[in-house]
Amino acid sequence: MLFNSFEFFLFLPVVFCLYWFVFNRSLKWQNTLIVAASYFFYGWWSYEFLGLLCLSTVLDYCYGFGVASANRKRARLFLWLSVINNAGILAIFKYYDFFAVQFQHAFASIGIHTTPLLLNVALPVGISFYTFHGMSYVFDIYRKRQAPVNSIVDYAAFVGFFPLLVAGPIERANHLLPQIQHTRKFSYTQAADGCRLILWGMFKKVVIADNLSGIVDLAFNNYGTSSGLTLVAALIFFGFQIYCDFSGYSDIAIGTAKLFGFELLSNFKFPYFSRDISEYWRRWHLSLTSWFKDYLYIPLGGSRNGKLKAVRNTFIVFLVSGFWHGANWTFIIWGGIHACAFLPLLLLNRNRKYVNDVVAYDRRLPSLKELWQMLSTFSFVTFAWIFFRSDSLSAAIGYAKRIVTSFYHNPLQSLSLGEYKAFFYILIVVLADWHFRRNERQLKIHKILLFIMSIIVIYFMLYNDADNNFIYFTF
Amino acid sequence: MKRFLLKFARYAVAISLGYIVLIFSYSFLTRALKLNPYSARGKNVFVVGNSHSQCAIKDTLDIVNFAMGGESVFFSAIKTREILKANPKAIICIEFYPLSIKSAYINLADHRLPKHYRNYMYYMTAEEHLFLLRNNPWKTARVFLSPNFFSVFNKTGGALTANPKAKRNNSIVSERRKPGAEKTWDDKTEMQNFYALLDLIEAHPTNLFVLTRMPESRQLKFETTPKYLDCLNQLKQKPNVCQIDYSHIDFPDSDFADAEHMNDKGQEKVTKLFVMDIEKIRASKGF
Repeated sequence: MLFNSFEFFLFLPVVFCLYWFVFNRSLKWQNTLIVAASYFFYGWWSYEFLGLLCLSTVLDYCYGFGVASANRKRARLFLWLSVINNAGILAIFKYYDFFAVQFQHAFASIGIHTTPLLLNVALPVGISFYTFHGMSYVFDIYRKRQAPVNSIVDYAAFVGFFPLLVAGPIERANHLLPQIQHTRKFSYTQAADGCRLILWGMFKKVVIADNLSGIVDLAFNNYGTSSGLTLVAALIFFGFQIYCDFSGYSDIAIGTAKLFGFELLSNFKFPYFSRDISEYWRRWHLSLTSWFKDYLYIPLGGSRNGKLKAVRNTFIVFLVSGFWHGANWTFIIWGGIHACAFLPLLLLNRNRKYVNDVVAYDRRLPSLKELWQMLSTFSFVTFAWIFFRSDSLSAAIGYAKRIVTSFYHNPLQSLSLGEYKAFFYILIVVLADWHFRRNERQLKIHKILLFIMSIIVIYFMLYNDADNNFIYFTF
Repeated sequence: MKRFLLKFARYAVAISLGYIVLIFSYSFLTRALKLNPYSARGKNVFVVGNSHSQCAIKDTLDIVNFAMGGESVFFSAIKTREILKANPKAIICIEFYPLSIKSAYINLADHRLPKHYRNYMYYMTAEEHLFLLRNNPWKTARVFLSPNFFSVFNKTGGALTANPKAKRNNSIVSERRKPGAEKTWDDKTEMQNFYALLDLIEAHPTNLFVLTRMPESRQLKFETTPKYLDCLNQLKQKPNVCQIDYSHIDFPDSDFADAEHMNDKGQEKVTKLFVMDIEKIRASKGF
């Protein structure tokens, strides 16, 4: 079920009413309802893969008890079992075909021709997210940050909580599980904030991202015949399309969870206002970034064992993070490009310069220096999107080459009306984000603007005929 | 909770009312701006139909091409009615090719519905709205609530909508072969489109109707069915109806942009022929 579908608009009020009016007497029943609703939500898209979700949930639930054992050897064994189990699910469904083809190419290059057995299975939606939830739970128990959960219903609610089941934010066991295990009370302020977040998320997805996607697809599919300026414009549009698509999803997820009395982790904190690439990664998909930091970078030694190891670990994290997005060299290169940009900051010890504050926190406008920093970071990130969006490495290189070799000098003639419209959409997002930038969770929107936004969202939901999936569903 | 629910309900009602007001305001605006001004500007010959006509005929001093890719007979009839309201002396050239009836239903029920329904929704009678609603309730309701606010006027005649990937006479790529089209096949509904056209012709005995058939793929010629010939004969019996058929002319492949649609060169040729044929018909019929 998609958040931007009409089924969801029927599903949400029904679950909300059952949750607060019918099952409100017992926490156990409320959690059971969450599990049932989440499985229904997931099964609506693909009931075939529901079994995989259940299997992953049951196995990690059982490993949790083993990892909690006082015997560290035994605990380590179960930890590895969990990692192998979750990584195995990912390897089979997400990466098997990719590796099979790579081996085929490698053998072919030395003259051995093979025909690999390909699975050609559809990627189960949300597989990268719920396996990471499971691993987070087991890791946290191993590190004694979290006790194993006795009730499988509570654990299933943590792994499968429908707002974050298919595209995050990737929650931590020690953050969400305590909320699941304690009685929730309805709060008017929390619910109203949730509704505003849902509306703003919908606006970003339905109005901005979906309208930009047509122009972006056209440019990336026909880059060989488009002008360089059109390709640059399409690249900027893609930067905003993916931001509005994914942050829109996260906003809807966080807002929906608020309606049920939960507070989820933030996933985006206005990444395009970042002043350097390290700040960007503290603001873009931060639930994934912090997951990799906690469960990969730090176990590898982090930055404690000298600069060389810190550089190695940084590269590993960025490359794995790129590969997490999909089984394609383009994602690995994308991760590598970001690692390269991060490297100078790491070596000069400037990677923690902008940790907490947002740009121009106590001012209306940024200084010229900040503006330059933001623009240069944005330009770099936008350039890297070429690799993220292209279907293959050759297409990405062709796209970049075309920008340089055929850049028209008459911008007014090169851009179409649709592209001017797209810039207008982007302006709306930039202005709104600048206005909200101090707190991404509490959006202060005037009543009349809320009203207009609601009407625009309804209109575009009805107007767009195609089912527009969220981009991160495929990761 | 009570406060939240009350506020939410109030908000939902306000939005629904606001939305309805917006759509009704737009409906009044669009009727004044869309089809009528073009129809009243001294033109006499109006071409309606699908992409075959759209790609084959250019606008001239006397001819306006209102054809649009994927347009079914159902929507052509609505468009014709509006043109005749604005220009009672108009000569209507309406595309009627072997798959007119068949594609009418497929297009209407499937992928083309939003595009055409959005263009003509404010000209349609309640009965016509209900006709669509019966055949495709979800899509019809959805489109009804989301008119095309961004398009004041939708004349696309003469524009090329050909699919450059489809080679000449490659019958696989064609609008009648859209996946799932056969599933929605319904004899009764398709004939309703034909009767709509028949009614229209009978309601305007003083106007000349020219049934056109444009150059097309060889494959399409083989698909001419007895049902089509029967419908064509019924229409041709009317005193104010005649036919222009270019399907028998063997245009070279270099005149086509794809399997079934003319390119600029082909368009020039067909337009010349068309102007001459219209003149002949007008002279012989006294229009």
